Amino acid sequence: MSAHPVHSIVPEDGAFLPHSHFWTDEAFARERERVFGRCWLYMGVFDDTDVLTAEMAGLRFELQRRGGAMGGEAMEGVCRDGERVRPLEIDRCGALVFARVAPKEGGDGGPTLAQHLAPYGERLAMMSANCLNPQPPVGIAFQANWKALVENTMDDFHGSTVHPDTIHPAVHPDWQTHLVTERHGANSDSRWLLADGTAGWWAKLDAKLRMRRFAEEPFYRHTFIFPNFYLATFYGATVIPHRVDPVAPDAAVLRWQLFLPTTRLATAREQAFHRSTATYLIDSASTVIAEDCPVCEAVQQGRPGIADLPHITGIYGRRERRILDFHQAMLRQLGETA
Amino acid sequence: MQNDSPENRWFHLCMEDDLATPNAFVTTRVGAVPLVAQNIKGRVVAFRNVCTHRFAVIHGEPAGCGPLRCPYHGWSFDADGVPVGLPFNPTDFQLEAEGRRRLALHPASLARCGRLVFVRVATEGPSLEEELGSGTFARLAALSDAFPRRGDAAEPAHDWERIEAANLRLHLAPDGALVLHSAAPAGADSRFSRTVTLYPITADAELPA
Repeated sequence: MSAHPVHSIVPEDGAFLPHSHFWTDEAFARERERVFGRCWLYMGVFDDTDVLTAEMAGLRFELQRRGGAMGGEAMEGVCRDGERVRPLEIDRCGALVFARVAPKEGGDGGPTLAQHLAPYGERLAMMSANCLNPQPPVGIAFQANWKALVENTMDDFHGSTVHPDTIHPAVHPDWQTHLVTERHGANSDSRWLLADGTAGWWAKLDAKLRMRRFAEEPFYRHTFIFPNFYLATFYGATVIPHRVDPVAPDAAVLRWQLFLPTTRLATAREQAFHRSTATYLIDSASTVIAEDCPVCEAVQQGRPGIADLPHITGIYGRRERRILDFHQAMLRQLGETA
Repeated sequence: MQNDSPENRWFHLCMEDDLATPNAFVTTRVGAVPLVAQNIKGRVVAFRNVCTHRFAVIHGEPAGCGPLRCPYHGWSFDADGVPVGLPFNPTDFQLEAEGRRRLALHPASLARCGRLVFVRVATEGPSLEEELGSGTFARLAALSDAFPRRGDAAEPAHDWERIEAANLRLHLAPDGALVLHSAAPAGADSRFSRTVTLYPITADAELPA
C-alpha cells in the first residue's frame, strides 16, 4: 500500500477486495463457503423459546438451547445447506450467542470464540448483560451487497451528509476531536461523545426508567466483529446487536434488535413508558437505517461502473481505515484453505 | 471493450436546452456504466457518474438541477471532474492539487448534433458524425434546429415519416411536429428512456428536406 500524504491511503491492487466481489455469483459462492461456512457468526440472544435461527448466504442456521438459563445449559444446532446438514459449534459471549460450522476433525480447529472476538470479548460480555427486555427483531432489506452495508456501518464520517438531521446533531458538535477509534485487525470499535442535549435526554430517560448501565459513559459506541456483526450501544445502557445477512450478491438484510434495560417496570404506567420509549428508539434507529439505504444502494450501482478502470481504487481517509481492515480480513479469510 | 459493444456506441441523451442552465444534469446508464452530462459553470461535460472516493453513483435521478456532488460524503467535482469540495480534507485526506487530479472523475464522450446531445462511455472512437453517417447527421442536426419548441405530447400516426439513428426514433408529422423518442441504452431501465414532442417556432416554418 502506498501511503498518501500522511492521513489517507490509496490502496494498491491486492490490498482491497476486487470490485467484482460486490456483485458476482462466484464471489458470493466463495464467501458462502469460506466466510459464512467457517467463521464464528452472531446468532442472537436466546429468549423463552430457546430457539435461534438465521439465514446467511443461503445457509440456514438452527440452534436450540436445552436446560435453559436456569443451569445445565446445553446448546446444539445444525447448518443446513440444501440437503447437506452439518453440526454447529456454539458458544456464548455473555448473552450473545455465536455459532460456526463445526470444523472437520483432524483439521485446524480454527480460533475459539474468545480468539475470534479479541480483544473485545470481555467488553462485549459486559455490555451483553444489558440484553434485557428484548424488543421484536427488525429486518430491513437493502438492494446492495452485504459488504456495502458493512462498509457503511464502519464509516465514521458520513453523518453530516447522510444523517444531517438524525445522527449528526445527536453527537457532540466537535465530534472529530472526541471520536475515538480502536482497530485490532478484523475487529474494531468507535465511540462518539454524545451532544450535551442528547446526553441530557438519556439522563432524563434514565431517571424515569432506571436503566441498567454497564458503564457510566456518555457515548454512542459501535463495536464491529468480523465478518458481519456489530453491537451499538447508547449511554452505557441501551444495546442493539446488528447483523448483516447476505441474501444474494446484490441483496442483504440488516437485522437488529433493541434491548432497553429498564429496571423500573412494576406499574402499568412504568410499563407503558418503557413501551413508548422502545417504540420511539426503534423508530429513530429505523429512520437512520432508511437514510443509509440509498447510499449503500448507490455504491452497489456505482462499483460496476468503474470496474474496468484499474486506476480507480478509491481512497480511504483517516476515519475509513476500519473499512480497509475489513477488506484485508476478507481477503485473508477467502484465501484460507479448508 | 469490444468494438461493437454498447460502451463504444453513441447514445442520444437529451436536448441541448436540458443542459442549458448551470448545474442542470441528465444521466443514463450504458451496460453497467452510469453516465452523467452536466452543466458546470456554463461548461457542459460528461463523466462516469461514479464518485472516485467510495464509488457511489453521484446523481441518482434521470435528470435534475444540482451540483455534481456525491450524496455519500459530499465530494463535489469541477468541470474537469476534479474533486474540489472534500469535507474533512485537512484532517482526513490532506489531498493537494496533484492528489485531487488523480481522483478526477473518469470522463465520457459528449457530442452534439444540432441541438441533440449524445454521450458515449468510451473516450476514444469514431466521431458521432462518423457513426451516424454524414447524411443522417446533417438531417438530424437540421431537424433539431428547425423544431426548437417543446409542446404538448403528440402521438405519431402511420403517415408520419420515421427516422431511426442510434437509440433515437423520430416521427415527423407532415403538418409540423417532431416526436423524438430515445430508448434507454442496453442495461438501463426504462426511466432512462425519454420522449419529447417538438414544434417549429412558427407553424409554417420551412422544414428541412
